This record gives sequence, C-alpha cells and structure tokens, in this order.
Amino acid sequence: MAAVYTQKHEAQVKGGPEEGLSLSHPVHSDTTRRWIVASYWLVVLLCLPVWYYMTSIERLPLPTERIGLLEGKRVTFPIKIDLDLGNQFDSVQRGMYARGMEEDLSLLKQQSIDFPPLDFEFTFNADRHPVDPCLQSETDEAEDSYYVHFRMVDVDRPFVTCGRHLVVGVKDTLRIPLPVTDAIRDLVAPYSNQKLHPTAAESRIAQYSPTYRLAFTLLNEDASVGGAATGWEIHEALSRYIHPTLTQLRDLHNFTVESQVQYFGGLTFDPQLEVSDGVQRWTLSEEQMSVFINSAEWTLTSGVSNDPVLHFILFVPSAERRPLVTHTTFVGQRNDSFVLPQWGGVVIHNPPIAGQGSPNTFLSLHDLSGPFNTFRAQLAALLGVPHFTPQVTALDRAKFGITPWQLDALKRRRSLENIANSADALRSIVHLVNQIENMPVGQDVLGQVDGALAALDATTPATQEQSSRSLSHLLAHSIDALTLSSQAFFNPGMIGLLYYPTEHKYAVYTPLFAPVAVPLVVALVRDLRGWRARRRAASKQKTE
Amino acid sequence: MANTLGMYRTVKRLGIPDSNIILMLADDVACNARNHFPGTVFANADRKLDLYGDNIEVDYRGYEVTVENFIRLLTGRVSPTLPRSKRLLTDARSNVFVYMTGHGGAEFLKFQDNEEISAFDIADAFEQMWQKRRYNELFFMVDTCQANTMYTKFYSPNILATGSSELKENSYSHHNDADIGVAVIDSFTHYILQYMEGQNSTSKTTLQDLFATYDPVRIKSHAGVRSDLYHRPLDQVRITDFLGAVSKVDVLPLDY
Repeated sequence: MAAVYTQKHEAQVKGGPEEGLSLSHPVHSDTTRRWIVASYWLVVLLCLPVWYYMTSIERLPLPTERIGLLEGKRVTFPIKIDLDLGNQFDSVQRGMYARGMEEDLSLLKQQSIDFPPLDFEFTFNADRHPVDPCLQSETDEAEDSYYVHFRMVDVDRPFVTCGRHLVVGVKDTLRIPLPVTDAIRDLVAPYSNQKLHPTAAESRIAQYSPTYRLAFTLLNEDASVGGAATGWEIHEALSRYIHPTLTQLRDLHNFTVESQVQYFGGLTFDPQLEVSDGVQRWTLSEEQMSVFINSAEWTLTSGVSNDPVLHFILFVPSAERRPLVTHTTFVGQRNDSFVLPQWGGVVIHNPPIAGQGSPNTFLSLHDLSGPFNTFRAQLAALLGVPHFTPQVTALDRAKFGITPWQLDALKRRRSLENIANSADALRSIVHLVNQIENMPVGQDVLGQVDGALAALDATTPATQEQSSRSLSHLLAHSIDALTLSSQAFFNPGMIGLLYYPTEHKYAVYTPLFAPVAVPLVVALVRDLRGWRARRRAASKQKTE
Repeated sequence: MANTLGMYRTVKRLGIPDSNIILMLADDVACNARNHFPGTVFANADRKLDLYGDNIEVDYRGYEVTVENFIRLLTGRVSPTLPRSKRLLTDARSNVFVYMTGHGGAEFLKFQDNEEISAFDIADAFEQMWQKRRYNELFFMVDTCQANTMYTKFYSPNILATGSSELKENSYSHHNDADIGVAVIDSFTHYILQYMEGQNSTSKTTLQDLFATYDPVRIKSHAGVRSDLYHRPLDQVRITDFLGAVSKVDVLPLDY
C-alpha cells in the first residue's frame, strides 16, 4: 500500500500541472474512490439477475408429451348385447338363427365403428329369461347391457322395447324379422343413421355445457286490446312436463329454470292474412319466423349467471290477429311452433276467443299441456336427444319420456364430444404457449392441465378398472376433463403480455437509463485510464 | 364515438340483441358537460339521427376500455366474477363482427390516450379465439389512419378484414358540426352507415355489394379488404351473416 502511494505521488509530481484531470487533486484517496466506483458497479451487477427475474415471464413446462399421446388414445364404448332366442325354435332352427345373427352382428361391428366407436360383445342366453321381459320392471339394470329377446307374437309389431330390452316379435318360426341388426344399430347408435338424424337435427343441438338456464316466457303480443293471457300455471306445468325430462338428464346437465310473463311484445313485421275456405288466419312466413325474435325490445332472460340459456317462448298473439299460425310446406307439419337452433323454441298459443275487448284469460294446466309437450320435445331436441327410431315401439316412452336407449346414446355422444373438445383445448394450450413467447404459464394452469389429463386418462380403458367403466362414470370424467381444460385455457393469468416493437423498448429504456449510465461508465473509464497511466509510469521508472 | 355508436345502432337494428353486442366506449361524450346537446350523439350535423337513443347498453365504459380488457374479452380470459354482459360468449358456430375506431398509425391503434394495441396483439388474440373455436367466421372492420396495416398481421383462418385507409394514408372525418365544434363522424364509417341504413334484417345484399360501394374519392382514402384468409366467395356472404341476426328456423316432426 505504501509503495503505491509513493509511486502515485511521484507520478503526480512527474505529470505536473498539464494533467488537468481531477486525479491531480483527489478529494478521496485512490483506494476509496475505487471502492466507491466498484460498489456502484457491484450494485448494478447484482441487480441484473433480479431485474431479469422480475421482468421474465413465468412459463412452467407443460406436460407436452402426455398431451401429445392423447392423439393415439381412442375411447371405445363397450356394448354388451345379450341375445335370447326364446323357446319357440327347435334345436336346428336355433343353431341356424344363432349363426345367422352372429354373422349379421359381426357386420354391425364393422359398420358402426366411426360414430361413436362401439365395442360390441355378444352372448347367447336362452334359459334365464322370463317369457315376457316387459312384465318385469327392471329399471336398475347396468348401462351398456342390452337384451334382445325373440318371442312369438300375434300382432304384427316386429320390434318393441322396454327398458334396455328389445323384443323381436316372431310370427312364424320359419321367418324372423330381417332387419334386427338395423334396429339394434338405430337404437344403439342413432346418430350414425342419416335418415334418423339428419343435418337439420344435428345443427339444432346446443353446444355442451354442464349447466344450462331454461327461460320460459309467456309473451303477449299486445295485452292492451284484451283477450290476453295474464298468467299461467307454470309451476304445475313445469313439474308435470319438464321436470321428468330434466331428472332424466341430470347426469349430463344441471338446470336452472326461470319464468316470466310479459304483456307487450310487439313484432317487427306484420303477419299475412290468409283466407281459405272462409276461415281467416294470420300466417308467419318462413322469412318472418327467422326474424321473429324481437331481441331489441324483448327481455327474455335475467342474465344473472353465465350459464348458456335456452329460451322457450309461449307467444299469445294479439286478440286482433288470431289465429296466428306458421307457414307449412307439407301436410301434417306442425304449424304452431318452431325451433331456433341452439337458441330455443317458440310455441304459438291461440286462445279460442278472439276480437278486440275480449276478456283476459288465465292459462290452466290443461291449456298448457299442448304447449308444454312441445317445449319438452324442443328441449330434448336442443339438448341432442336422438330421435327414437320409428320402426320400434317403445312401451315405456310415455312413462320415461326419453328411453334408456336414447339416453345412453346421448351420453355416449356427449362423452365423446367432451373428450375430443378437452383434448383439443389442451393441444391448443401447448400450441399457443409455443407460438406466443410472452404467454405466462402459472402453477394453477399447470394444475388444471394435469387435472384434465388425469380425467382423460380415466376415460381410456387401459388405466381403468372394470367397475368404473360404466357409461355414467365415463361421462362424469369427460365433463371433468372438459371443465378443467377450458378453465386452464381461459385462465386469466394466461394473458400474454402485450407485444411491444423493439424500437418502443429503446424509446422507453433510453431516457431512463442513459442519464444513470453515463456517470457510471465515465467514472470507470477515468479510473481505468488513471490506472493505466500510473502503470506505464511505474514501468518506465523501473526501466530507468 | 359516433362511429362506434353508428355501428351499434346498425347491428341492433338488424336484430342482434344487446346481450350479444359488447359496446366499448372510452368516453361519455353524450353526457359530457361540454356537449351542447346533452344526452345525444348525432351521426350528422343536421342532427336528424340520434345515435344515443333511448335504449343503449354500454358494456365497457370510460377507463374500463383498456387494451388488456379488450384482449381478455376476445380471448375469454376474464375474471370469474365478471358479469355476463361483459363477456364474449361465442362458440364454434358464432360469426363475430369486430369494429374498432380511434386514432391509430402503422400497425397500432390508440386506446385512451396512453395505451395502444398493436396489430400483433389483435392477430394473436384472434388466433387464440380460433384455437378455442370461439368463432366460426370473423369480420374485422377498422376505421383509423393507416387502418389497413391493422389487419396485415392476421394469420388465423376464416377472418375477413376491411379497413379505411392504406399505409401512410390518413382517414379523414366526414364533416364538422360547428355548434359542438368537433368532427361528427369519419368518412369511411359514414358511407358504410349510409349504405347500411338502406338494409333491413331480411335483405339479401352481400358483402361484395358493400365493398363495391367503397369510393376513394368520397371516402378520401383507399379503403381495403383482406379476404385471403376467408374461404367463402364474398358475393355469397350476406351482410346479415355478420351484422344481423337471421336465424335458421326449423320445425320439429310431430312424433318427436
């Protein structure tokens, strides 16, 4: 230390007054000044990692590999069909029919693998079944197990179902109704039959949501001219016509129901007056039906929750414009109602009394039976309940509304949709996170992705036990997967920081950092210079 | 303001319910103390058409109108407590119309006076919407200076875009109202609204017809259309596919 001092002193003496730097008149000693400069730099350097940490975006690694593997996984639905040839055939016939059926059914196996993927399993059982399977009211049968019985019948009704039993009526032991496999296919996979499930039916179906809000509105076109419906027995009507269906669908959706009565809901157009055979009626053309909903003026829902809403409107035309019917294109078409795909349904109710000043009415349960049966059908159609094949008579349809065959098919369809959608959502997350570099991925997103993956794994047969393979479990897992994957996708934390062009970053950083950086750099440069000068001086001295 | 309100009026008149319109107004000019005609916003200096009207539902107002909220709205990444009216509840079958206006420049549009959204942000937001199937088709319309640069960065399918002016070109307002001392409406929007006033919810006019009315002399800038991401020919796309609510109806069979 002392040596340095002396050297410096000599250098100063040597350098003389022409070295105009402040070094010649140090306020601090050399060492102190260096410490000061070094400590400033130290602070800057130490802060660099902190700055980096604070400005970098948390991007936790996603389980990309597991998500990639989803592509290869395919859900199949096991279908057990128990065939019972009954006791009307002799042993030769029995063997022959059994073989024939087996061939037909193996064709079925190949046919309907596309939608939904079904995994058929057939067994032949003759002895254990009762004579008339429909007399036994078994409702707690396992899902996915269906029974086909061949029975002698007198009336010509080839196919009858009750519960999960299909009874094939045989009139003549030498000839069994041929399209047995077609009937089974229409019952088990109704969506794969274009005739049974046309495009129009497909486009009606609302997108799946675990929760729905059903909004029933009694809408008077103009109550001021009289003859309006001032009220309705909505509670009774709901519990009689709508609740049984909702109960059947409870595995799929959770419903909230609201209802209201409105007295003035004007249309934006005028229906046409048609007179045929001396009867006058007002007709809604197809075009008018498509703009029927006057959403600018009608308040149809309360909007208190974010659940998707299905609207059901019971429209009572103004007393001056009754009866109001919809335009029909063929005979036998409904002219009192129509469906707005994925949105809801409209039923027009024409009270018998018409004309200005007629008394108001109250719609009783009896009046509502027609409209609410239509609402029930519309609800089922909007929620994707398949059409029941007309070649089969369902004995228990009146009791259930939706037969177990339809319900199972719907559950299979929704499970499949949910699984596909949630796998899509997960793949999209991976894709977007890779694509958009400043999109954060936090711990909660990771948790939701893992949860969705676990739920998806539970739907594929490899990992699950036999007991949890039932359709309801599968559906529940698929709903979980869908909910979690969309939560992960819509996680509010996943919003990518906004994009700023590089020149903007310079524009922000330069005015801030330049004034701070200049003295720091200048001090360092000056010190280095001084240090080099002194070293040169010292070495010169040495050589001398 | 009048631009946005004009569009709002149009889509509402064509049958889109308020619940399906998300209106973002950064300033409340109708009720501003300096508005000489309180509670009104007119589309024209002749003050015939009050855009504010009696029935208007502004979903995002004043300082709620931020770039972040707009991106959150589009991508659906909103707080779970956000009310329904502030959410974009669309799905794979929805056609979405996005209209933006304000002061802008090459690849950006200003929000409030201190923020801006870049063309990249919107493009990324649309891609995220596409990935989650939040739209079937999307029609993007922007009226600002150098508006056509706003849609150059899009890369997601099924997007149709139109803007009021080319790069390095200004969009001008249509005219001033001397009584309130401000420009009332921009040219591009003015002529679109003028065209749309002649339409109703059952019109069969197509977007091609609308685009054919673009006249650089009248608009005072070169309005552009980008349809390379779009899959349908424009002369088969009805205006009401995006700007109106015409639903296909069907009738259930009797035995359902």
